[in-house]
Amino acid sequence: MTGLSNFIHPALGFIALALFLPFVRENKIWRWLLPIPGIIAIMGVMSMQDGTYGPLHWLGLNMVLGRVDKLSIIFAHVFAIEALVGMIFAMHVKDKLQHIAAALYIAGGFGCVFSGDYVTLFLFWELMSVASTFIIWLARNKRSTQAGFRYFIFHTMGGLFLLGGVLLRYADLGTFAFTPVSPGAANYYDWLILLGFCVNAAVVPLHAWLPDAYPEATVTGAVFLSAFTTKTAVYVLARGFSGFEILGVMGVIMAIYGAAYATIENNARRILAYHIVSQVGYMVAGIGIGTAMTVDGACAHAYAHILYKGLLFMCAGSILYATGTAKLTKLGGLASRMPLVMICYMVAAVSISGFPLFNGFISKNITITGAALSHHTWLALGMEIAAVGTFLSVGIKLPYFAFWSKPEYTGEVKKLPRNMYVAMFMAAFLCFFTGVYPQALYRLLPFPLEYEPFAPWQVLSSLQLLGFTGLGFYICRKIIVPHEGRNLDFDIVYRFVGWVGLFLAKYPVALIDDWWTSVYRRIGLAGLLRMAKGSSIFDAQGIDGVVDGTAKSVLGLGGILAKVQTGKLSDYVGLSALIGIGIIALVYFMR
Amino acid sequence: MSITASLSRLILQAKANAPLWKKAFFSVLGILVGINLFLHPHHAHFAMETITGFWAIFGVCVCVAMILVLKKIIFILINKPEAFYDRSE
Repeated sequence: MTGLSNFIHPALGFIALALFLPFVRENKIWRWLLPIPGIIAIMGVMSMQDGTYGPLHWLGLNMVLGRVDKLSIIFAHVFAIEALVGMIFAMHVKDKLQHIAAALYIAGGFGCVFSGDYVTLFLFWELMSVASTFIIWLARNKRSTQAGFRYFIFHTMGGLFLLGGVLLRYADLGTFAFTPVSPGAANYYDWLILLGFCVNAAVVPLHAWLPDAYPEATVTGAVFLSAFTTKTAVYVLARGFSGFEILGVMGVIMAIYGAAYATIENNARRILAYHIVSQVGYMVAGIGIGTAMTVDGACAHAYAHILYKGLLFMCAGSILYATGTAKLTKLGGLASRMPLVMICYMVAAVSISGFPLFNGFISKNITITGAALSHHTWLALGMEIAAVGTFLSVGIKLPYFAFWSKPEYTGEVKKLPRNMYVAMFMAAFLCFFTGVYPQALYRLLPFPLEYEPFAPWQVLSSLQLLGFTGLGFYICRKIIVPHEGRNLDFDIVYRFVGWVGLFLAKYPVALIDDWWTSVYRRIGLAGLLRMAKGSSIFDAQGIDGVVDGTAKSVLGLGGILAKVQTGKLSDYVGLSALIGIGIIALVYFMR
Repeated sequence: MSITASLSRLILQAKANAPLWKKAFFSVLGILVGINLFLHPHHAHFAMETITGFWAIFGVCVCVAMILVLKKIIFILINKPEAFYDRSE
C-alpha cells in the first residue's frame, strides 16, 4: 500500500509548530498552539493502518518515511501521548526557542520510529541529537553549556558509528533497507551500527552522557529528554537486533548499575537520570533475550517507562522550579508544602517500582517472567536485584529526603503554574489506568501475549519484595543519608581526553601557531604587499568606477558574515544544522 | 487552593501519628509472610521460590547489602567534591 491515504506523519505537526512559532508574537496566543501537534499525533497514530507509506526517491535513494506495523505503532502511541503531556507541562515557558527545540526533537523521534531505511533513520537520528543538545543549552547557565558540549560530542561520535556501519553495509549489500539482523550472521558493520544504537540506549559503559547532561537541562526540557532518545534507541534495537545474547547481559548490568548509582546520588534529577539507565536496562535485556514474551515485555516497559519517568521528571522539575534546588541535602519536609506534587511523585514512584495496580508492575513482570521462562534464570534474578535497588532509591530514598525528612526546607516555595499540575495529573492518571486495565496496553504489543498479571502469587511475591525492601531502608536509614558531591563515572574518560586536547591546544599547538604567524608576517605578508602594489596600479587605471558597486555589496555581505561569526560554537552547530536542512531541501526541489 | 490546604493538614496529622504508621507497616509485613504460609507458586521460576518468605528475605538482604556496599565502600571511593570537574578551566 502506498500513498498518504490514512497516514499523516506525526512529525509534520511538530515541524510545522517549530517553523510557525518564530512568526507569532503574542505569548497568550502561541502558547495554546503547543499542545495541538500532540493531539494531531495521537489521532494520527490511532487511525493508522499497517503498511508502508510515502516512499521518496531522493538523490537516487529509496527512502521510506512511513513503515507502520505493531512495533512502530506502540512506540509512536506513547511518544504522541508524552509529547502532548510534555508540551502542556511547558506551556508557561516564555522562551520560544525551548519550544522550537522540543518540537524538532519530538519530530526526530517520530521520524526514527517510522523510518524504513537507514538513511531516513540517520537523518532523523541527527535531528534529535542537535535538537536535544539545544534543550540542554537553553537552560542557559555555565554548567548546562559545558554538559551540552560533552553531550553533543558524544552523540556525534555515536552518530558516526551508525553512519560508518550503514555505509559499509551498503558497500557490501547494496541496500539501505532497515531489516532485522540475525544474531548468528552479524557482520562487522552490523556491530558498528549496534554500537551506534548502544550509545543512544545508554548501554554501560557508553551511558555517562545521560546522567551528565539530563540533570542540567531545563525543567521542562528534561521531561522530553527522558522520553525520546533512549526509547528511540530501544525501538531500533528491537527492530534490528532482537535476540543478540550480549544485549541480554548488558541490559541486566545496566539495570543494576543505574540503580546502584542512584542509591548514592544526591541530586534528585541525577537519581532519575541514573534510573533511565536502569530501566532501559530491562528493555535492552528483554530485546537481547529475544523471545516473543521478552520483546513484548521490552515494548510494554518502554510504554510504561515513558509515562512514569516523564512524571518523575515533572515532579523533580517542579521541586527545582519551586525551591531552586534539586539537591536532597538541601530539601526535606516538603510534603505538607507541595502535597499535590508529592502525591503525583508517589504515583510515579510506585509505578517505576512495580507495585500492583500501577503500570510498572505489569511491564516489569512480563520481562522478568519471560526471562525466567526462557531459562535465563540469572538474568531474571539480576532484574529482581535491580527492582530492589529501584524501589530503594526512587521509591523510598528520594521522596523520604525530599518530602518527609528533617531538617525541613524552610526557604520560599514558589507557586507552580496551573499547566504543570494539569500535565502531572494526566501522566499520573495514565500510570494508574494502564496499571489496572493492562488490556489497553496488551492490544498494542507486537506479539500476542498469554500472561495473567494479577495472579495471586505474582502479587504476593512483588508485595513481599517491595515491603521488605522498605524494611531494609528502615534498618539502614541512618547510613543512606545523602551527601553532597559528584560521583565519578565513565565520563571521566572523555573528560580526560578533553583535558589532554585542551592542553595540546593551549601549549604545543599555540606555539606552532605563534611561530607560523611570525613566519607569515615576515614572508607571506611582504609578498602580498608587493602584489597589492601591482594591483593598485591596475586599479588606478579606471576599474574603480566599474567595481565600486560590487565593493559596496561585498562590504555588506562581510558585515552579515561578521554578525554570523559570533565565536560561540553553539551558534555554529545550530547554523550548520540549518544550512544542512536548507541544502537537503534545495537538492530535493531543484532535482 | 483549598485542596492543597486540606491535604497539607492531613499530611501534618499523619506525621504526628508516626508511631502508629510504623506499627501498621510492620503488621503489613507480618501479614504478607503470613499469607505466604498458605499461598505457594504453581510454577516456581526460581527453585528457592517455594520456601516461605523467600522474597521477603531476598528483599531485605539485597537492600541492606546494597546500602552497606554502596554507601560504605563504593561511595567513599568514587565521591569527589561537587566542584571536582570545574577545576579544569
